[in-house]
Amino acid sequence: MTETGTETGTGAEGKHSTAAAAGGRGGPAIRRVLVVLDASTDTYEALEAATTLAARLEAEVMGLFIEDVNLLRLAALPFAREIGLGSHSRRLAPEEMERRLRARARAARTRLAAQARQARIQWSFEVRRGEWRETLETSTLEADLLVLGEFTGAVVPPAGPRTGHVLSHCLGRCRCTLFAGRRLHRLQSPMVLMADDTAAAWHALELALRLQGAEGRADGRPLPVLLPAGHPELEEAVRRLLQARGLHARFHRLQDLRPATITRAAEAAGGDILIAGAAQTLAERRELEDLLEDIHCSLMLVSEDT
Amino acid sequence: MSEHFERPPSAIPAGSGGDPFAGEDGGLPDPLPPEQLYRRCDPARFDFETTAELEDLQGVVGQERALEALHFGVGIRREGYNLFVLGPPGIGKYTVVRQYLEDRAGKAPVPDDWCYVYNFSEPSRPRALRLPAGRGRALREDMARLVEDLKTAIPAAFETEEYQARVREIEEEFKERRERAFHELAREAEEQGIALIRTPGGFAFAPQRDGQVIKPEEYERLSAEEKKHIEEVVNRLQEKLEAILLRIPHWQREARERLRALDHEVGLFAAGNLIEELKKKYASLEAVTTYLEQVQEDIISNLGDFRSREGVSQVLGMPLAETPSYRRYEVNVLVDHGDQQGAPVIYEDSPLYQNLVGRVEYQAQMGALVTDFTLIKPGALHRANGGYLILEAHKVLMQPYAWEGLKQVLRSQELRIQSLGKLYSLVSTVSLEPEPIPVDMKVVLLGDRLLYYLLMAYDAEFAELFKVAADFEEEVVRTPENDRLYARLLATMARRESLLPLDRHAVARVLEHAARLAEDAEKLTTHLLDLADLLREADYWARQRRRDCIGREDVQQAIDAQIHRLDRIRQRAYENIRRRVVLIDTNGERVGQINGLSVVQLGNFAFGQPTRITANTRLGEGEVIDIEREVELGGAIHSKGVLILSSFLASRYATNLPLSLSASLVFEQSYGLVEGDSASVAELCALLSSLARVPIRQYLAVTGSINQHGQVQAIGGVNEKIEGFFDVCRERGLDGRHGVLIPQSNVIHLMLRQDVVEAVREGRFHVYPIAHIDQAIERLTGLPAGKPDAQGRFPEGSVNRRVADRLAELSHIRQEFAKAAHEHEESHD
Repeated sequence: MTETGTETGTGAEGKHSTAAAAGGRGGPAIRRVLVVLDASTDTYEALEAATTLAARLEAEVMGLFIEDVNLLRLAALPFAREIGLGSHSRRLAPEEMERRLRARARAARTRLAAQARQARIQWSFEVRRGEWRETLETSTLEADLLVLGEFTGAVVPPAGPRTGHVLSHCLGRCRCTLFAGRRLHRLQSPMVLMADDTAAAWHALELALRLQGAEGRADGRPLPVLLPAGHPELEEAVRRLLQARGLHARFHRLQDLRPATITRAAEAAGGDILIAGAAQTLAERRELEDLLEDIHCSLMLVSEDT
Repeated sequence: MSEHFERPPSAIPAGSGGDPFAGEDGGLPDPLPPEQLYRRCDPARFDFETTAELEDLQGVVGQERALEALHFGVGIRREGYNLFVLGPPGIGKYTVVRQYLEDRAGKAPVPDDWCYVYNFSEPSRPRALRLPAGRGRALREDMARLVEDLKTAIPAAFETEEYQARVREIEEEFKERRERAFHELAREAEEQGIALIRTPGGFAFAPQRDGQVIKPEEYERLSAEEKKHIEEVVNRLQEKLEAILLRIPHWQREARERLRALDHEVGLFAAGNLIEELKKKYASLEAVTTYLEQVQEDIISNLGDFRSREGVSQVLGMPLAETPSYRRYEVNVLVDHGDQQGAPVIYEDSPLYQNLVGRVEYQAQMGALVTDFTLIKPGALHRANGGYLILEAHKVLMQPYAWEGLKQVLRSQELRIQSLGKLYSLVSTVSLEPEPIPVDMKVVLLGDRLLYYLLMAYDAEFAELFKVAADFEEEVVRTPENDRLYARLLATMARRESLLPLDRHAVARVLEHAARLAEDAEKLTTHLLDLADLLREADYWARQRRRDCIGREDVQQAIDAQIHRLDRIRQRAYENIRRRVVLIDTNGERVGQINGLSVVQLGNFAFGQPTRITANTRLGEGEVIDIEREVELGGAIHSKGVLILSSFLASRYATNLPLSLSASLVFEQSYGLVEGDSASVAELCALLSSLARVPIRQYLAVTGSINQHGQVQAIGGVNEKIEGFFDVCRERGLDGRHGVLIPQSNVIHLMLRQDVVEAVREGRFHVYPIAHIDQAIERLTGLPAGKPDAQGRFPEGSVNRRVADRLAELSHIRQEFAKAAHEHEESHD
């Protein structure tokens, strides 16, 4: 059963979303930034990242609070017990679980509203009940950029990275740009661009330039760019594009595009946010999970369709 | 206002045991010549025109004894050898002592600085640090700079990529460890068809199918065995989960400890070098290096203070102290001798307890009073440590607990700052107890003699703590050498105060005035305050006359003006006499009535005035009634004088007869306290006049005290007394008969006003010295007093004979009365 409810508000009266204008500059059109929230407070970091991104991109932030149906099923089982972090065991009941989920949703909404008001951006908040995969697939249809933080769903996966399974699931099904990582770095953190000759990669480059903003150009530091070795024409094209925007590039040429190679190069380049086109080889689900396991930086995978 | 018939200013040989009738042998002494009434200072003796030619006087005049005591007291470095400098106010004690101590201190080593610093192990007991002079200030500045450097060095060290990476490693490791445990548990659960679920408050287990928790209705459809199995599995898994959850705090603690160790390492890297530099700088000062080590430990333990943003926190809109606070790294330089030359000489004008021993101040914060070691304030004893502290004894004694506090410090040889409230258990709140500081200093108390002797008598500790007395002379002998020194003293005072120089005539007049102030023609006062005032005022008058130096007339005008400003009461008193409101006869003769002389002291101004003394005699039982005494207006000394004259009367005139006299003596129109025995000659004369029925000349006045042998003794205020009677007589017209009888022994004290001297010179007024009561009687009555023959009988017609006869008559009458009474009683029996 899926229940939905939508509330909207604005933190900036008279201030319009100009994502379309951004798109007009040739970059990906990002009007709606979706952030996934659940009963865990771990997702609050993603909320902050989402509002910051939305503010920079002049987009609307949409909060999606997923009431995982597994929790409600659990609470309805006759032997269900919850063991707290202090290893205290307590009986679970469906009514209590409902109440606790509502309370968590309220808290997340309040937080979103406060941050959006501070960032002077439009915001909306929606609570959906259901299995997280289905819920996410439905919801991301409306979003241009999905921010995934520590969202994992209620069922702890038996192995592998905590969040990687969510990202790889989304990557296969969502058409939007993804911002994910075990830590979501702030936009002021240094960025590294992964360039290849795909449309998604050029979109990634455009998005990186927009996210860097005026201050990125003002500090005069070159933008680290990873690219496959032996593509001088690609290098030249990237250089020209950056020069046209008043930026310089520092190229790191990769012998292969395996996740481990990209990871090491990104860290060596001193980047906290790796921006890449979603169509690249690292989009392979298994490799991506490995990458997220290894890498300390945040990952922005820009959709070709954005 | 009280009238005083004063005792002499200094002890005069009593002469008891000498010839009781010595005065009769030599006849009546002549009136004093004008030269004996005023000892002039001859300006011609000075070899300078003005004091501008004279060198400054470095020392003082006539204080050799006090200076020797000072020299001894300051020189001896033993416990309890503090000084008490005795002498009346204004005599120059402070100036002399200060000058002496400064000379001495200038050659002494500069004492150490003292600082209070935070006590990291016991914050309520701040530590005292001793540093060489000037290094306290340097340490304070070094510590302030250190804190400023650390404010940037520590955050910088913690912002490095390396530090951040290492933190991330530790955090990730912890996270990974935890997640791995959960994932492994999740895998184990999955193998048994169970899912590990994250709930809002923790974890739980539930049967799963295709990665989803089975629906409750589905569960209900399971068989009892299946359900039982699931529950058993879940129970087992829960036990494992509990075990993991119990391990998590341990892992967290481990991670925290590693982070702390990392912080310690990074903090030490950031702060260690800076502190090490300071330790090298202060390597020779073990206490400072120990302190710096403690600072380092504290900084490393409180790195958060340096990593967090500074600011002023507020509560209810009111600013609190700076957050975080770096105050504990400050250095409170309590005593800074950085600019000091030699040892300190401190004078504390307001010796309150806390001004002496220091205090701990408080700051109001949110209605509460808070304090710390930076609010410890030094007292005079701190500032004077290693040098000299000058205090006015009476001020110390007047301030609550100041005297006890001072003695405690001198006794214990250490300076402990304690609040009075706590000392006397008035408040029991936790406050600071700064570490005591050892003291090594000389305390010099300035006070008058009475105070010194009272302290000696009533405070047992005083003698132990103030073993050296420096007694200042109030006057010096008037010798040509001292006159010359005095002139240099005047020159020095004038120069120091930027006054005009004095010409030699002015110097001579000041010296004459100094003799008058000393009440002795042969001495000079050492009361420098009065002289300084006189010079300032003479300078004023000289400048009014547009002169370039102070002349004799300027000094005279200053003296006259001083008197004029103060003599309103005197004028009122004389006016009352003139208008006969107060009855004083200055002509004719009266039986049993005489003009006595009294001195009225009003602050630092005194004047003399005549007082009518009368005596009545009749039959009685030998008592002389002092009416002043009867109404409690007579002081003890005055009563003593009356008793002495009673004794003299009985022993001289009624040796073999019962003294059958009842006499009464009174100071007419006197409504205040009468004290002193200087009227006893006058009282005896009035009594003898009454007994002998011989009138006394009212154009004469008399002063002097008497002993049991009839000798006249010196009294005080002789100049004022003579001038007082002179002023009254002059108003009524001097006719050459007017005069005053004074004790012979007071002649050396005469420094009379010039108008009196001139009147004497012109024969219009006289001053008669007397040594014996008979001389007074003869001068006052114009009759011979009478010398007894071998049988003790006085010559016929003499005053004494008349007195003796009258007393014999009274005795006879009394015997007759007694006889008649006896017969009357017998007839009744």
